[in-house]
Amino acid sequence: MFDVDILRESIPVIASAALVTIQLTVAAAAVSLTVGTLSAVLQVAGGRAGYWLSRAYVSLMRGTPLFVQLLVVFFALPLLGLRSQAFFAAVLAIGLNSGAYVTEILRAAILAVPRGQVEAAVTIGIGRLAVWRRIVLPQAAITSLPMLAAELTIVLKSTPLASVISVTEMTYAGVLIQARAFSAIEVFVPIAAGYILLAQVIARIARMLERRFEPLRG
Amino acid sequence: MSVDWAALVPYLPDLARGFAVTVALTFGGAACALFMAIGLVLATSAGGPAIRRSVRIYTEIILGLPILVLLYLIYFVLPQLGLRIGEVAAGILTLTLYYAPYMAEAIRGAIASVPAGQVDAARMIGLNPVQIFIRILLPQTLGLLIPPLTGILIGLAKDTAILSVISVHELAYATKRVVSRTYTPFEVWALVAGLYWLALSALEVLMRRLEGRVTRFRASGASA
Amino acid sequence: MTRLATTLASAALAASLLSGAALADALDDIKARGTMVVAIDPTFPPFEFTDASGKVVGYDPELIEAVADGLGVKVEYQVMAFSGIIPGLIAGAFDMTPTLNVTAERASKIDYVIPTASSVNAVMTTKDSGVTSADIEALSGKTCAVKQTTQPEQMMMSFNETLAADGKPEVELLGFETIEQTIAALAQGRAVCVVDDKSVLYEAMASRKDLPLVVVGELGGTTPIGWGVNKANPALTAALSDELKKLKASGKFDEIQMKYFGYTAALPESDFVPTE
Repeated sequence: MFDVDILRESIPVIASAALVTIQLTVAAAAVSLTVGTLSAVLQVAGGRAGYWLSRAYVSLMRGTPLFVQLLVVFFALPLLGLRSQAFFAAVLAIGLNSGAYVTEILRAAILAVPRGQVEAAVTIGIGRLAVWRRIVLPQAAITSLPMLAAELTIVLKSTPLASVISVTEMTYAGVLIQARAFSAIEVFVPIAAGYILLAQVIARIARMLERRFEPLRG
Repeated sequence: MSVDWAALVPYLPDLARGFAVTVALTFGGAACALFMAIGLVLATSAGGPAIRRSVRIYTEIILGLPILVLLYLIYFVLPQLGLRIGEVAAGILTLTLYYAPYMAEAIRGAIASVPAGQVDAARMIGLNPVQIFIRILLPQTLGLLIPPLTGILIGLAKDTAILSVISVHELAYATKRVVSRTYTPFEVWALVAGLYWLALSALEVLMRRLEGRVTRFRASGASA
Repeated sequence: MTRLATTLASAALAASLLSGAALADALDDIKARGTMVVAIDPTFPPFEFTDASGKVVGYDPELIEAVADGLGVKVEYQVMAFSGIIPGLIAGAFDMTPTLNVTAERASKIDYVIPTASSVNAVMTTKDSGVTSADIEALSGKTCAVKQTTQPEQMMMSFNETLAADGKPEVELLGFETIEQTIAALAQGRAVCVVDDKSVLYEAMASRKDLPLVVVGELGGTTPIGWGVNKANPALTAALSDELKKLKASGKFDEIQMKYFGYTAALPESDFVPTE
C-alpha cells in the first residue's frame, strides 16, 4: 500500500520544489503587502478617483478566480514585449490577487486609528506623509497582524495554482512524481504534511510578532 | 493576434452548460459546508474534550492545506486506501471539508457577540444546544454572519474551477476544451473572466441586500 | 461586461501591434540570449518524461537538445500540463513545444516543424472490462478517460457527434492532466478504457505489469506528430526543420528513434499537414 522506495525517491524532489513554494510565497506576499497598503491608503485618503480606482481593483481581483488571473498575466506579458517569465508572472498574479484582501484588512485597520491622533500630529506640525508612515500605518499593521498572517497562509495555499503557468512548485512536482511512480499516496501525503508544516511556521512567527507588539496595542 | 469574437458563438452553449454546473457546485458545496460548519460549532460547544480536540486538529490541518492538495488526496489517494468516490461527489466533498472550518470560524465569531448570560439562561430553562443555536443565537447573529459568509461563499465559488483537474465538467473545464478547439485563449478567457466577475458581483449584491433585510429587522426591533 | 471585454481585447490588440513592430523572429532572440524556451508536459513516456531526479528526458528532449546544439544554444524547459501549452504558444510565452499531433485545425493557428513521429490512437482497457473491440460502436455508452485538450479527446468528441447523429449514446469522457491519471481512472474502475497514442499506451502497459491492461485495437487514422512554433516565427520553424534534416542525414535521428521506440520509421518532410 505504502511504497517506501517511492517515498525515498520523491522526498528530495519534493524538498527542492518546497523551496520554490517558499520563494513564491515570500515574493508574492511582498507584492501583496506593497500593493495592498497603497490601495488601502488610496481608498481612505486618495480622493474620489483614488477611492474608485482601489475599489475597482479589489472588485476585479475578488470577482475572478486566481486561476484565470494567472493565465491572463502569463499570456499578457509576452504581448507587452516581455519574455515569458513564469515565476515572475506567478508572483505578480498571486501578489495582486492577495493585495485586494490586504486592502480590505488594512482599510478597516486604518479607519480604526483614532482621528484625534492624526489631528494632534498635524497640529504639532508633522507632515502628511510622516503621519501615515509613523503614526497611522504602524498601528494599522499591528492591529491587523493576525489577519495579515492568515492572509499570508492563504498566499501559501494558493501557490499550487502557479503550476498552470509552468512553475513547478511542490504540488506540481507531486503530479510529476505521480506520473512516473504510478502512485499518489507516497507523494501527496508528504506534500500535505509539508504545507501544514509551513502554515504552522507562519502561525508561530505571527504569534511571536503579536507577543512582541502586544505592549503597543491599544 | 486578431480578435475574433464570432468564432466563439458556436461554443456558447458549451460554456453555458459549464456555467450551470459551476452554479450548482457552488450552492451544493456551500449548503453542505454550512451544514458541516454548524455541526463543528455544536461539537465544540457541546462535545467532550476528545471531540473538541479532534475538531481543533481537523481545523488546523485544513487551515494549512491547499484545496488542490485536498482534492488530490480525496480523488487519487483515497481509492488507494479502498475508498472510491465519483468526480462530482469528490468535488463537493472537497469543497465541504475545505470550507466548513472557515464557515465555523465565522459562526463562532458572530456567536461570541451574543452575551453569554443569554445562553446560560436558555440552558437553565431546558433548551438543548440545537434549540439554543436556532432560536437564540441564529436570529441575533445573522446580520453579523452574512458579511464574512459572503466572502467565504465567493471564495468557494471561485475554487470550483479547481475541480476541472478531476474532470468535473464545470466552467473552467468547458473553457479549456473550447480553447483547445478555437485556439483563441485571450477571447475565451476574457469572456469567462467577465462571466465569473458578473456572477460573483451579482452574488455579492444579493447577499448585501439579504444583510440589509436582516439587520433592518433588528434595528427596528431595537428602536421600538 | 461587453465594455470590459472590449477594453481588454483592444488593449491586447494594441500591445500585440506594438510588440509585433518591436520584435523580430524568435530565432534572433534565441540566438541573442543563447537559450531556446521549450514548453513541455513531461508525463508522456516515451516521448517525454522525468527521471528520478526530476530531469526532463525522452525521445523529444533528446532530439530538441541535439537540434539546440546545432543552433549553438541551450534548452530551457517550461514544465506544465498540456492544456496550457498551445494557448501559451499562441500567446508567445515560449519558443516551441514538441509532440503535437498535426491537425488541419491546429495548422491554421500554429506552424509545424517537419514531423518527428507518427501517431495512431489506440484503445486500452482492462482484461475484465468487457470491452473487446476498439470500434466506436462498441464504446458507445461507456466511459473512457483521455488527456484534457489533446487530439485524442478531440477525436472522441467528433466520434460522439457521429454517435449522437445516429441516435446512439455518446462515449462519456473523463479528462485528466496526465496519462498516469487516466490509467489510474481505468484501474480504479472510474472508466473502462483509455484512448491515446498507441506507443504511449504500450509504454504504460510495459511499466504497469501489476495491472491487467490490454490494448484492444486502434481508433481513427494515423497522423504525424511534430513540434509547434508560433506563426510569427517562420525563420525559427525553418531553422528547426533544417537541423532535424541534418540529424536525419547524420543517422542520429534513426539512433534516437531506435532508442525510444525500438524501430525506425521514415517521416514526410513536406505536405504533411492533413487537409480536413
